[in-house]
Amino acid sequence: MNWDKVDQQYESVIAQEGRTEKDDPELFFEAQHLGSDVESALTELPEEFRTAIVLVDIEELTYEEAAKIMDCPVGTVRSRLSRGRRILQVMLKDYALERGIKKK
Amino acid sequence: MDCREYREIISAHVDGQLSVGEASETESHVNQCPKCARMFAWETRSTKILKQSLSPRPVGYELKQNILEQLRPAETPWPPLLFLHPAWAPALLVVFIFASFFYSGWPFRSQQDLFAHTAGYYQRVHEGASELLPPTDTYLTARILDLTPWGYVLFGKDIQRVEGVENRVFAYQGLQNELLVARELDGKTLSPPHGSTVVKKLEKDFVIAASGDINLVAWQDGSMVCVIASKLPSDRLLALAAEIARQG
Repeated sequence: MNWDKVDQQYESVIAQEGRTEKDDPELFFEAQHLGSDVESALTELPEEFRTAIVLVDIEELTYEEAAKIMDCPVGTVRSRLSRGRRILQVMLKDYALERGIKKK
Repeated sequence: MDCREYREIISAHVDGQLSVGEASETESHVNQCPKCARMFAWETRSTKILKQSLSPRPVGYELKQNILEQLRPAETPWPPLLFLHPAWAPALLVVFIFASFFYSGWPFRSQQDLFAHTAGYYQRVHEGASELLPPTDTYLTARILDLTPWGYVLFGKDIQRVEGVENRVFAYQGLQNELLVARELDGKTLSPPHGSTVVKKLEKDFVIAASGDINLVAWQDGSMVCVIASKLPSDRLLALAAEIARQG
């Protein structure tokens, strides 16, 4: 995973907020079309990030509970979740562009 | 804290999972940094969208089960009679005392969190950077802390589960356009944090605290902790809290 690239792309996602009518991620990611995209993106996510997202965002566990299950410090859960969500955002933007829903 | 450090913990900030120290450091950074404030607003809303998109998906169940299955540690049975050996007694006593301390109420740290986070909510709503959503009819039925009888108009709401506790936040506008944030946490016990004042009214304890120019009043209503925050003078806020508690 090229982190610099992910970070750059994430910056570009954030940077577009406010420049368009879309001062709202719901519109930006075309949330009504997300459906299976999120599932696909989650499947493609590297395992450590996917696990953090599944435990916290789907299972609604606390960071402490997730850390116990993942057998790692809470700080690791935090950074994996932060990274994982960032990658998901970049992937979802790419999906929207690929489908032609959003214009480049 | 700088922007780079903030970016590393932004998810924990969005999830309300920072410690007291980190939360206050973070709040002061975000208050001074428009870029990070914007990022926080963005992250809050996009995380909500992701969670909503993820939660109801039946396909995700298989994925979850696979992951949970892989993560489940192999069970190791207790050595049979060793557990009953008298030599364990002092150790068990120490564990019991610690457990009693931590589970007898709400740990001090979380009390500080409660007031700091509620003031944080107020500040963000005040600055228009709120992550609150417009209220819905179905949601209103779940509301206990209802300020509409006192002329307050509900315009924003949020619901989260923090450490397994239902956490509901409501934003109201008052008759003089003043802003008021109300928060209820189900399954928590209130105990006064350091620096707060406790006032007894109608045989109920009201905890009064302040964060900058934001006043906060909290009280216990059955299994629920209620908090209201506003820039109203603390005596007016206390009177309002007592009225709400009396109605409840």
